[in-house]
Amino acid sequence: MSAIPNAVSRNVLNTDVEIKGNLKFSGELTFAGKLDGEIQSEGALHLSDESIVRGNLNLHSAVLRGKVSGNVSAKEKIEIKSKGELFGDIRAPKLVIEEGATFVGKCEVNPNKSSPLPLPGAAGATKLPEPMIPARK
Amino acid sequence: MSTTNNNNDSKNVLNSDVELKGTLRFTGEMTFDGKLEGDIHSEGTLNLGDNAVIKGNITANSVLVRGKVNGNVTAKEKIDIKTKTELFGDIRAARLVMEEGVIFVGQTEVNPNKVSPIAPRAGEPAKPAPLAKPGGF
Repeated sequence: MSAIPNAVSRNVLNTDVEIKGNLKFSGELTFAGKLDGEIQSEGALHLSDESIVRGNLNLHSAVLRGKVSGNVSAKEKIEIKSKGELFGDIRAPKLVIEEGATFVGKCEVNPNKSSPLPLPGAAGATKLPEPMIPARK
Repeated sequence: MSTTNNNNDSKNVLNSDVELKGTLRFTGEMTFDGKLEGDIHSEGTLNLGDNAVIKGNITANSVLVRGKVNGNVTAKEKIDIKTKTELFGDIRAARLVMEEGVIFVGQTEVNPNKVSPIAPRAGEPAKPAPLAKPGGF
């Protein structure tokens, strides 16, 4: 009873749109407006250059342009395009960052869930290296 | 310069796969066929689809109502209620069109020229007694 597979629902929100609150969708969304809140989706999000998002994004895949303040996690892939600005953490199996993008945050891009090699001396220890930057918040 | 591949820059579309909790603002035109818990504020045109379910108040320049609406609808210009709509709430607009087959429970104020009822005899209030107390269902 879900949407017809070949006809993915294409949602479009342009620059004149402002949303305060949480947005859910399952198809595809092209967003160029302002959002104060979260997006939860099993689908694909395309942010446009003009978009301004403050909040966490939880998606299947995301193409980021515009300005995002918040954490982005995707089941499949995250792309940050050259004019994108992301302040927040990323978690996805695949990540592409174009030259020119701004990105300040932590990454967990680990499709095979591999863990770091055990450090010499510490048997079985799989401790991550100490972060260079102290955790924000 | 926009990366959005839309030539019409203010045609917003949200399909039936969308769920939104919060406030939605826009100035152009929007077709909304999803679920909304919250208010819509717009200077533009809102077209609701048959699958739309809205719990909240709508303010726009003109509104085409389909689906289910639980809340008040105010339009500067025109409200058009299509058949099979279920509207529980009050209406205020300069012009109103209602098709056959609508469920509508609420009060209306459709008075483009701000006509007041025929002057009552001195000492009586100008307004007719309300049919029901506001919100008294």
